[in-house]
Amino acid sequence: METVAKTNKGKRSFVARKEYWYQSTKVLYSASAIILIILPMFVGNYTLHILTLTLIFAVLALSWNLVAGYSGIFSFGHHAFFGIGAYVSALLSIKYGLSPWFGLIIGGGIAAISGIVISLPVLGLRAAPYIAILTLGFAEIVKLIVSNLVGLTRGELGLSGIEPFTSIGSISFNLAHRLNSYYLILAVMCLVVFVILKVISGPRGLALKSIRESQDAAESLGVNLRKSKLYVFMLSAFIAGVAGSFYAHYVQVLTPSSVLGVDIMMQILVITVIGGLGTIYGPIIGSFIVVMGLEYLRFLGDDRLMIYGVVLVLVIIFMPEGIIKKVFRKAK
Amino acid sequence: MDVTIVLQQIINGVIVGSIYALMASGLSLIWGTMKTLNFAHGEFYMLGGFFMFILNVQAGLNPILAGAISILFIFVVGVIMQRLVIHYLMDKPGWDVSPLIATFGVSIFLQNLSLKLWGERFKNIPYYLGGEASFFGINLSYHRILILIIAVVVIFTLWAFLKYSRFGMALRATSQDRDAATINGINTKKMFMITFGISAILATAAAIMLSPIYSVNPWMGESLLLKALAVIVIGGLGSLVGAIIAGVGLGVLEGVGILFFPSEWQNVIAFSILIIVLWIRPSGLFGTKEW
Amino acid sequence: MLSVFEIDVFYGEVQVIHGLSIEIKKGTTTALLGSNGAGKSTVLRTLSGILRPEKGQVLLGNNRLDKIEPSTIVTKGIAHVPEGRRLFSQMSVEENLIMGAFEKKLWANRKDNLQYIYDLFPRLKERRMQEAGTLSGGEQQMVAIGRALMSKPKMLMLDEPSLGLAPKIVESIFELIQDLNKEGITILLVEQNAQIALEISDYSYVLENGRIALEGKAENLMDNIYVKQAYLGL
Repeated sequence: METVAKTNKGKRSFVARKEYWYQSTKVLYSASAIILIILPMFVGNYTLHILTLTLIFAVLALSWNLVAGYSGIFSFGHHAFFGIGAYVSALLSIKYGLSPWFGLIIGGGIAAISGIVISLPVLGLRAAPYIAILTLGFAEIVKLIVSNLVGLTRGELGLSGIEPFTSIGSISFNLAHRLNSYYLILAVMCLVVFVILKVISGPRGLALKSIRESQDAAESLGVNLRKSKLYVFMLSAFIAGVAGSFYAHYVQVLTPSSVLGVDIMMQILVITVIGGLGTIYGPIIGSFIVVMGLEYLRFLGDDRLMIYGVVLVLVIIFMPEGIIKKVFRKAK
Repeated sequence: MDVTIVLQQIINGVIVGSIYALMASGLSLIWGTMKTLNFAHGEFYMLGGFFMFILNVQAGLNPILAGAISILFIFVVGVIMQRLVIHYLMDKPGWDVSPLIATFGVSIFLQNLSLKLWGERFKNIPYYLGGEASFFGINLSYHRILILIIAVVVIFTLWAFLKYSRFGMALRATSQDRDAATINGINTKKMFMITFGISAILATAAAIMLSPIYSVNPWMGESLLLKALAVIVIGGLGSLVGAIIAGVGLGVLEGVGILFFPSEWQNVIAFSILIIVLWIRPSGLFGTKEW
Repeated sequence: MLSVFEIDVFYGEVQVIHGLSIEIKKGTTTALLGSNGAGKSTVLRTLSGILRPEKGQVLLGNNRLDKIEPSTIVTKGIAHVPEGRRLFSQMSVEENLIMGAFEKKLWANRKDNLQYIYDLFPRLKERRMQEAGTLSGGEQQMVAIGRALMSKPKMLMLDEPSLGLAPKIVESIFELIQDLNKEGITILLVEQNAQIALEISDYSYVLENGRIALEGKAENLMDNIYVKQAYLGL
């Protein structure tokens, strides 16, 4: 079927774009370093808490961006991995007294395994809507299982009194020492950024990119689609699981709707889409805008979510490439 | 096990399933014409429930009048949504995903808008018909019988509309070849708006009939949307017959399943079937092509 | 009747038509000739509103066709038989034909028009309940022409009606085109088969890379050495 041709409105200009001060890499990196490392030392507990949540969501969005932005597989059930990581780690710590540090890895690991399991049917599908429905269904199953296994998870009553990360020497991670937790998640995020950069610049990255551009072309180029997708799903689910596990031991309270609700997926979507799909710093910037925005707009009550719905629609219509490509063209 | 109990559950399942079919056929219609999904479809259902509550319970209109006005309103909501959101995404790069994200946004917006307007307290609508029928040891409220009748009538009307009416045929033509439709004088932009409107009507019909059984609240659309999505995939996207069979089938399976599993596991079964079907037969049970 | 004045047409960012002007006189048969990719179909698609010119005008009498809603162009009496037929392949033959009479006034008389088409193509009456996608190439072309005629057009635009058809069928389709012209329908014909097109047309344009390379009365073009070499293979 022929598509209706578009008229040619935006003819590209080949005039070199003027570089603004904020587009300089040096300015950008020093500014982010100051904001991320030094500034938090001087802020109050509340702000520190928001910053920590921001980075948790940044990690989560980074992991989703890996499947959606870099490989074009739009999963709408990514919150399942976050929830799995959170619950596995919390339950291991509560029931078996396992150290949260191991929980972080095991939570991520179980999330990765479930990522592999769900990627099996996903691998056979090409059209985005099918993948969307399948992954949504999967996340719903996970949520229902967690809320139904009342004996284990206490259902909607939730888990409370989850242990914080055990101290390393004199460095404690309980609620009285929020700055340490903040630096911990910052380190996790930097590691995740590093891993993702490594992946997308390696041979796998090339394969992923060709999947996104055209599945048929990728196949004819001999890219092993199954393997690449499986790998991406696993890695992405692992990172989401780690984020969930961190969340559990940081907030220390879990309910199925707080970590497995569709609104987590909405957060991920809004963050990544606003920041910029398929960009490395997009999810981080998006997370700052969205999570901080949500927090500081708390006075708006339930209107916040209404506004976020509208923002998501407007961004998709008017700025589908996201803020990062619109403003920080060089930072890509 | 007592045969009458099983029979009772099968009949209940058919009734609930007919509502699934109603919801799913709206989604199927949109898939058929625009090749996309509407994640805000559950919100048409939710708004339908609220309108019915306001008109029937608060304003005291009789159910038929209240239902007719609700349907008219939600039709307009559907048309507006297509024009304000989907219209701007069509024929642009990223069309395979952008409407999914955008309608997700619309869904969040509408849920929270109704939360703001009408609060979170669950609202009840009385049965339109009291009393129940008994036969062969099976008890069935008149209201449930009415649900089945309405669902069958609405689905049949939809079928006849698509098959024989001028607009229905134009709608099918648009879904098969947009350019060819245009040169035959069909305003395809209008067709897409009407499609959304009709899809919204189908959800409203479901809401009108089901609201007295469940309750009206801002989140009522969410779980039914997931069910409807599962149904259209199991039936094969774009296949109206598939959606109807899968809808009724799922209803019966759940109805009978209740005898063997606790009810809170019902949805786990539904979504597991969805995943298995997609795994084994990505085109669905009645679909012809893999999309 | 219809005049095209210096239009530029783009497919995305690629310009396909460059400042093209043509004139179609009432009651005549005009042919657009040219090799594959010269932009012939693009011109027709622009005339029927599927594409919009970036520059220039399409005028029907004094009315700008390039500014009105595309779906209303058929109601102005211009019907398009598109390249590749473009039938509604999962609809029946009769449903396809009826879609040609979508306009409200025509819709009321669709039964009569249908009878006229069936008289023209008795073959289609036999197949009326069959899905259009399952027909043979020749039958599909009949449905495409029939569908266009259902709108009672004053002008009929045909895009490569001979494409992929057996010589015998091509012959009868061109006979039909001539008959329709005699009945007063203005014809705009796009053809790769220059010889057969020149035979039935009054005036012809030769397109090359989106521009008019040559134009003239059909008999003059037929004698033109350039056309002979490039398109007639003589």
